Amino acid sequence: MVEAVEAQKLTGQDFEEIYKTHYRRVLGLCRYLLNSPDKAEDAAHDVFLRAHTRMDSYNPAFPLSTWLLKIASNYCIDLLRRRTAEQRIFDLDPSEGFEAPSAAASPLGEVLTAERGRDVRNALGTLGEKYRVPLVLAYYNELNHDEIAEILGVGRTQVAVLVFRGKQQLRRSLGKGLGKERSK
Amino acid sequence: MMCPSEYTCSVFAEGELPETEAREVARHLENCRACDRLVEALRAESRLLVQCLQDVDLDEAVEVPQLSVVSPRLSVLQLAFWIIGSALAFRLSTGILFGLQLPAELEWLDPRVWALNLGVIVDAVAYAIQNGPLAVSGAIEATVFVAFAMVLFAGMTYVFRRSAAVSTVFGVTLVVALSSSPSYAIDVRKGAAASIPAGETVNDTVVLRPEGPNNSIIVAGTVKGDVIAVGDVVTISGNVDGNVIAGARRVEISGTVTGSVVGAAAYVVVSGQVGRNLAGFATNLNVAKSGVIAGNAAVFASELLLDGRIERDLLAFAGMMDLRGDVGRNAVFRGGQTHVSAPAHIGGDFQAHVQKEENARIDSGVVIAGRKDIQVVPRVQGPSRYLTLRFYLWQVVRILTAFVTGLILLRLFPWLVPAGIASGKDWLKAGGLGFAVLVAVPIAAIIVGITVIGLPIALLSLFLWVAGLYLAKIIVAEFVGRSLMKTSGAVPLLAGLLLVIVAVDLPWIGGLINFLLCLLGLGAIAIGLYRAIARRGTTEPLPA
Repeated sequence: MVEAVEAQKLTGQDFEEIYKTHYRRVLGLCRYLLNSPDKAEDAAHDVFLRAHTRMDSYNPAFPLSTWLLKIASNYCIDLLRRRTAEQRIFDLDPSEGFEAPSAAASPLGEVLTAERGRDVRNALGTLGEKYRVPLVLAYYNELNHDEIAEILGVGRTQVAVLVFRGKQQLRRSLGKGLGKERSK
Repeated sequence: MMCPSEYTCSVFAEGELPETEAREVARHLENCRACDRLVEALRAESRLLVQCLQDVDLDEAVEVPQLSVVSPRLSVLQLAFWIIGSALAFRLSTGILFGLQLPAELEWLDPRVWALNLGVIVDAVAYAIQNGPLAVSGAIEATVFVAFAMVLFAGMTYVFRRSAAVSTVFGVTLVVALSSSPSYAIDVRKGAAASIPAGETVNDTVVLRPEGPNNSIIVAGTVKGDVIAVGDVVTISGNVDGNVIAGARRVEISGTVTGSVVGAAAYVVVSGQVGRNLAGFATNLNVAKSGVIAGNAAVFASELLLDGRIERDLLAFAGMMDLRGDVGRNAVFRGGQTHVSAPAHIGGDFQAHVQKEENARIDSGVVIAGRKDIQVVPRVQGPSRYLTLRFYLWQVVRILTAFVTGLILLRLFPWLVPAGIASGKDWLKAGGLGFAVLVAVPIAAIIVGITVIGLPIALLSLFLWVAGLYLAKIIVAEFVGRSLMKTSGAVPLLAGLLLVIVAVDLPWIGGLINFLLCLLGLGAIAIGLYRAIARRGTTEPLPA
């Protein structure tokens, strides 16, 4: 229903509707990206304010959620950039080889059922933003590497490396807690 | 083909490998069970990650809070409240306390002591804002001057409880700090070498910064270039073939300066010769009997004593001005009280803007060649202004001009629309930034303008600054109109302008509202400009 009104001129009430429908998803993204529930709430609020003022620039050919998540991603990444003195958060460290040696951990597979979702999310929270952000964009926003590259302002190959290494780190972090199960 | 690396498999599993490479890997997978299994596992992992991450939306109960400022109507109200509130608070705090008498030793507590200075600053800025677009060429000195005043005022608030001298030095140090990477060669002298003894000649621009307890500067020799001096007491008794920018507790010019003098200090005394203009900010400013200023003087002081000669125009903002010397052309006074006594001689018009007729005293022996014009600007403006048809016609012209300008402006520079500035906090930020722009641009322009190459840049940035002051209100009006009518376009702009013009014409607080709106608009322009530049560097954040 919300998607239906989007194409037309939006009134304040319609925006309330959009807000209610998409708030959780935007908040979820902000939480992952900022790794702080309080800051995420402020950020989600600001994202909707920003969306409201930019409603004119919304292209109804795209889903509204994609547009909102894009605003949220840009907003949070700006925040992260501002928070760290280092502007080039997503640059690759040249000391790490292009193809990092594979960790002992193999892909998270069958042993990991959906019930362990919370563990995965906690493990994600332990990663630095350099790897956390690309993983969130890839698996929460389900963006492809080109789209992630555009948001982070880095090359496509770099995104592939960041996602790959991020997954390795995630496995390692989870592996500690999963060791017993894997040895079965 | 050899088995691809785990990285390649991973990128392949995500479907992100370039086409030719992907085909090769796919062919390999048909023959290699180990790799096939790995890719399958990686795909399963990706699905799992998507599921785990997205489950958070279902797992955790999230309460949807009220979107508090979803309607910008609220933020316009907040904005209006903020502007009118600060204007009222300022007026009331200075106004009510006027009846209060404090014992002499507690006088420093009296807001009048600083309110006088503050009031003059506000007047000076109001003058610049009102006459800015029309009087650019004539008021550059005044602009420099206002800028200095603002920096010093900012300095005062920073070093709050410190003395005026410390604040002054702070302000000027700021100016010097701004000029710390100049494109031309300058000679920086610190410590004991900061003074130039008689007989010594320096063929360069010098920056003099003494260190230690005895941080006085004496320029008794000759400098063929500009002098920028910051110290406790700055004395120029020699010759400077260039400009002097001095900030100190006390600045004394008893020698000869062929260029202009910009002095900011608690006490400024000019008893020597200044070849061009004098721009001075001081608690006490004195042009002694032997002092000659061959150009204009734009001065801003609590107490102003003019005994010497100013060969061209005098523009004075002062709490108290005593004029006994000569002014070659026009003299304009704005402020508290002025006393013009013999043998004063004014070659042009004398204009005084005072609050009461008796605050401008002109003795009988005084010669004024032109008109004598004493304008009484009462504290509370009478209704008379609002009863003339001319006033309303003028306002209509003003709105229409601003309307046309606004339409062209927003068509040409759509990024000027203050997007993303919605909450009261954002506007507060914009106001702060606006203040910084108001102060920093003219100072930067003056510093750049010292060099010959920098002069066009300086003039251009000053022009843009004055234009910005004018456009600031249009930007705010556009926001107000858009927020109230919830659409953008010509009609909301006109409505916003109507409201803004009415607000700035309000008696009593209109001037201050004008000033605050200018700050907000300047800030919004600066933010818009910054974003427009930043956006060009990164990616377009929204799908077209």
